[in-house]
Amino acid sequence: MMELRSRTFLIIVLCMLLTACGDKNIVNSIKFVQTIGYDAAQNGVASSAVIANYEEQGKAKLEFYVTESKSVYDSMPKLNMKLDFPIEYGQLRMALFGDSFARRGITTAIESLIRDPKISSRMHLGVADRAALELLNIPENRRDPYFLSDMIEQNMKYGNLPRMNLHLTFFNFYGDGRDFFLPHFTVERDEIKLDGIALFKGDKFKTKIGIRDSFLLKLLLEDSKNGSVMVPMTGANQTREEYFLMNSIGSKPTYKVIRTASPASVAIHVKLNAQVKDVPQWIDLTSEDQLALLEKSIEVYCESEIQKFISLCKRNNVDPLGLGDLIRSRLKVWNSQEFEEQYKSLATTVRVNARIIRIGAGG
Amino acid sequence: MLFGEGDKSLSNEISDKYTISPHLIVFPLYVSMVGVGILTYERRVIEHAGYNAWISVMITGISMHFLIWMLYKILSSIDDSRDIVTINHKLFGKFFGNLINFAIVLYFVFGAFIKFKVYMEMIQVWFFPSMNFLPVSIVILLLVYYAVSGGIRSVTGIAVWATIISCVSIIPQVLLTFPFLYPMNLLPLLNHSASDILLSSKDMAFEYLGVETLLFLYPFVRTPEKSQKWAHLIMILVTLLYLMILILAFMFFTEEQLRHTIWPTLNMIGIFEVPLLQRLEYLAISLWFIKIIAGISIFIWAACRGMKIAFHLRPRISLIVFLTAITALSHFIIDHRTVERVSEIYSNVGLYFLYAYIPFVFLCVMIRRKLTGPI
Amino acid sequence: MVKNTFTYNAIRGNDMADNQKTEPRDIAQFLKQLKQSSDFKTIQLSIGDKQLSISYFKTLIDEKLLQSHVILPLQERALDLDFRQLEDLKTWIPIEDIEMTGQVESIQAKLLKGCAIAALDKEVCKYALIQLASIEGLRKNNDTENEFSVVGPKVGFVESIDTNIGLLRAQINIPTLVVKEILVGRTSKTRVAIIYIDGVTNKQNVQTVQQRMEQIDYDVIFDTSQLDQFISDNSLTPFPLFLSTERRDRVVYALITGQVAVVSDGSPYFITGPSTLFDFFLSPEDYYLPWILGSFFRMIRIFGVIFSLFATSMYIAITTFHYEVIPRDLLEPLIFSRRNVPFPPLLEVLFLEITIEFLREAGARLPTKIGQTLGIVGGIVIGQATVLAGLTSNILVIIVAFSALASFATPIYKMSNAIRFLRFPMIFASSIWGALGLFIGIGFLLVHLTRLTSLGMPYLVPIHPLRVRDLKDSFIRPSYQFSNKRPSYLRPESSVKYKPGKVKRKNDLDRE
Repeated sequence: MMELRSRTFLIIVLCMLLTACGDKNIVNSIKFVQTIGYDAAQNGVASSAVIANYEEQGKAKLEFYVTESKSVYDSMPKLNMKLDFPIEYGQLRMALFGDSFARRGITTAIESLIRDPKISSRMHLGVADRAALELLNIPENRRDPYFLSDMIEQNMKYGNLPRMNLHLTFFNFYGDGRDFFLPHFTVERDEIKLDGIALFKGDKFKTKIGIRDSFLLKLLLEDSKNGSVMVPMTGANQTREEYFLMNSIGSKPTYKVIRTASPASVAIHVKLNAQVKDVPQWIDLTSEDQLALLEKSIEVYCESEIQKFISLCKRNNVDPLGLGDLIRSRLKVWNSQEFEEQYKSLATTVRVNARIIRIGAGG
Repeated sequence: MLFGEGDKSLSNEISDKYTISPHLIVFPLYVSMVGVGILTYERRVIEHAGYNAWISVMITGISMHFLIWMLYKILSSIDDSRDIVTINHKLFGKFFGNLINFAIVLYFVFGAFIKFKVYMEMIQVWFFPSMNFLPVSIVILLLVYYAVSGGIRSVTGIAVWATIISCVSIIPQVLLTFPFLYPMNLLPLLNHSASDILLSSKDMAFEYLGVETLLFLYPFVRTPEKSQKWAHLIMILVTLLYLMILILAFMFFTEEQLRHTIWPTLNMIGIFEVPLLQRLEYLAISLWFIKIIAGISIFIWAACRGMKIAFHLRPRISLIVFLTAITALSHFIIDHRTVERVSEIYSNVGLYFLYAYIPFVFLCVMIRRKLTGPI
Repeated sequence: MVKNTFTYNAIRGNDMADNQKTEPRDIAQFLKQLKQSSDFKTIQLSIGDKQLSISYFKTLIDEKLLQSHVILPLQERALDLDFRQLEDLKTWIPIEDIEMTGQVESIQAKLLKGCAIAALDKEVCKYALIQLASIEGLRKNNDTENEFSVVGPKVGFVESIDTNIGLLRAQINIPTLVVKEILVGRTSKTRVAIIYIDGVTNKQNVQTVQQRMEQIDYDVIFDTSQLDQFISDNSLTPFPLFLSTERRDRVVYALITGQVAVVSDGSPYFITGPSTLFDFFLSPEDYYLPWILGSFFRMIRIFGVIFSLFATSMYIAITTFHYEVIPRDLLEPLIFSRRNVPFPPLLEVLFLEITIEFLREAGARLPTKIGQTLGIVGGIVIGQATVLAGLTSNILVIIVAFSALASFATPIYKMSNAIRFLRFPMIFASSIWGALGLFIGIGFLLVHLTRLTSLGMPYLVPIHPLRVRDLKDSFIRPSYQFSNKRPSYLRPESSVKYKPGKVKRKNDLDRE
């Protein structure tokens, strides 16, 4: 009896299953937006989606779709009207903001990205020095929909970019006493070039720093593996300025709060292990004294440049280093507005401790 | 086979064949305590105490040890059938006792429903936003039927698998979030008032609901007195687990960001990529399914067991009734707000159940024992 | 199980009338009945003043033996008058197994097992049963055929129960090896032996096996694996609940760990039980290799099974529902390979999986040489052609081939069949609800496994119920120093197998 009843029940269930499939997204019958660009338009936002069309093995053809809408939110339904297959954001890896759009504020755009569970929090954001669409048109020749995100990834690993992605952007955006920053792109001889970092205040693009300052930022934030910078020699008996190339092998910044009451003061200490290969001719890399001289030059140069960089931040009232957060963590009660007022008068002392641990082959 | 006894006799005696070893109690307790909540609780806990909420987790954990101690005291104080139903009969008489028993049974069914519904909501958001959920709920509940109808042995069996699976999915998480952690977030260590921290502890208690399955599991444990140390052990482990994930989340997110994140644990898992799969959170959600099934099975099992000893109802019938009720409820409750409200009610009821009813019974049992000797 | 016995009993009840008709009470009636068949012969010999008649089934006995050992010695003494009674045959005939009886039942049984019956004309109701059974038709070669191993003995069993038991006794050289024989099969009357080691195997298991064996009512037992089904705890499962093997080392290992072995006459396969899921992933070779290698290969095998079960369903789940999880570097090859495929992933997978199943079935039925050719034709030509024709994606061909390969990694054929079968429910489940469906399938699988028992012992032990000490010989193969105890879940009567001496090896720095 029992068996029979459960069997009929099973049959009913199986019949139901036939009509009960989940939402299908068969991989070759959807369109992936892989890179998206946002630009300010007359009344709203122009979003451009880059979609790869895999026609031939190894060669993707990039397709561009541009829609204008009142806000970021309805760009997707509008995009769907231009496509033969449903559009999906699950493989989105890069969002690029046009200059004017970034200056107007990008909260709505990035919030709509983080709210979509399909979008990876590892995706990258970036700012172009012109309209995003214009910049996105350039990698079309390269037929790689992930060109920009790969470029950021590569530079984080082997270059001067500090680590960043959508999650970290939000970390800095929502974090008290922190401001976020994004990579900044420009065009040089018809090629896209990463030329520094865009510093944001709140959600608005405030100022841009160059690639050398971006190394300093990396140095101050994390272990700056593989970053490199040109350092001028500081010698007593020197007539003309000479430079040498310093590669960072590893570094460790430590922050110490000296005073929390206004004006607060912070001591920054950076330990830096470096490699030096390309030096002016007269320097003998096997000599202890001369290495000490090089170390000294690195220290002096980095210290002064970091001070300059911090004062630049103070001038623009942006806090990419999270100094506010640092003070907050030492105080029971902390007010972001109050801190902002005293941010300009915040005193910082910087000490860099450089050590050359590799000198390449052949002195 | 259901519940170990022959179909004809509905006696409450449990033959030796269907009992479980004392150390096996850790598995059903683990899965009934750790549910979908572990994916979301960070956001709820910080509501009052902010980033000091880790203290609240510890406070709740310690209070749970007291509760376990009380539960064991209550259950070991009577000689024959050692479960809450008999105790209620003895303390409050047949009628009122049964009233309370029915409430307890309903509470367990309700708990199973909440587990199920919250998981389905997650599936809806991450997997299938526009799917008809009736067929899938029926199939899932068929699975629960299959598990529960195997009796305590198959229920603990699926709990063992669930525990293994959740350990497998938690260890990589710990290791892989490391590069993204900012320990400075934890500072300052104490900037919230004691009342805030206590309020957060109250929120945290919701995550521990499920420990009360012990009330029905107890008589199924061979030499149940020996299982007390295992119960305390698993409570320590669960507390450590909650604490660890909470602290990782604190270092991973800033406070404001955490308030904006609905599924913090999932977002943490989602930050890494392995060569064959990106978006590990999808794998985690699927793996969590086994855990949810185990949790629901244990709750439903406890409810059926309660019905059987309180009202002499054949467990298979109550099992079918409960599962049908859950299917119907989850079909008709569709909007997120209602689910939120319902789970709010559940957590409040659970809170009173744990912190008011159990101490009350404890006191009654102790007084009775003082006055009339062993009951 | 309860249900099974019930049906057998029912059959027994109905056939009672038939039975009585076929079982003659009278010996004369019995002989008359036998004379209907043409291979039943009777010869008359006159010895002295007496007439001796010898009857036998020509097909069941060794006729050379009959001539040289029975007829010849009798004819030589044809004039001897000493022959007075039937018992004298014992001293004349150079065959030791001669039994005197008057019972119809035992005459019938023995005659059908290859005895000749001799009777004196005068002496009614007294017969001599002379054992002359022929062993022709059984193979000489006892190499293992299906469970091959590179290292280790290749001794397998043959179709004769006596040879098989002899093979066992040669390796378990103790008097406590007990062989209990019973007859099973209404028509075949097959000899079935229940083998265990007294003082090691739990008596309850032996009793259960024996009880279940005795309850079997079936006509012909062709193979031991049929018995496996009759005595299994649950017939609604694709999993084998008893291990069946043709390897001697496997059976010996099972016996010394405290399991019961069963073999039927005419089958080269033994079944051993109670078995756990892990028993099916052990290969004797694990124990012949150093333990590190043995453990590694065992883990590879377990991984192979998991891969084989879930690889294609994962493919369906990912390509149909969860495109997000595809790593970006794999995205292009995957989309490209599926670009021209006109079917949804489910049909694509089913097409290939069924092709593979056809190949396997055909390969198993064909002679070895043709089978190999077929494998090549099927594997390479069909695979290549379907990809070129755009019916399947080439990535899928790789996955399906891999999972087919991995399913062969299980050393026990029955288990690899179960895995072959279980792939299909998984494929359907994941084609309906993607990863969720896949895990619903896994959930059913896990609950099913936890509910299974083998001779009343949980199938998943030592994982559930958890026995930490027995876990060491499950996922890995421990060093012999640590595997000297029998697994406790078998509840053996003595738990120590051997006592390893403390090995002290100095690996110190220059022996300090």
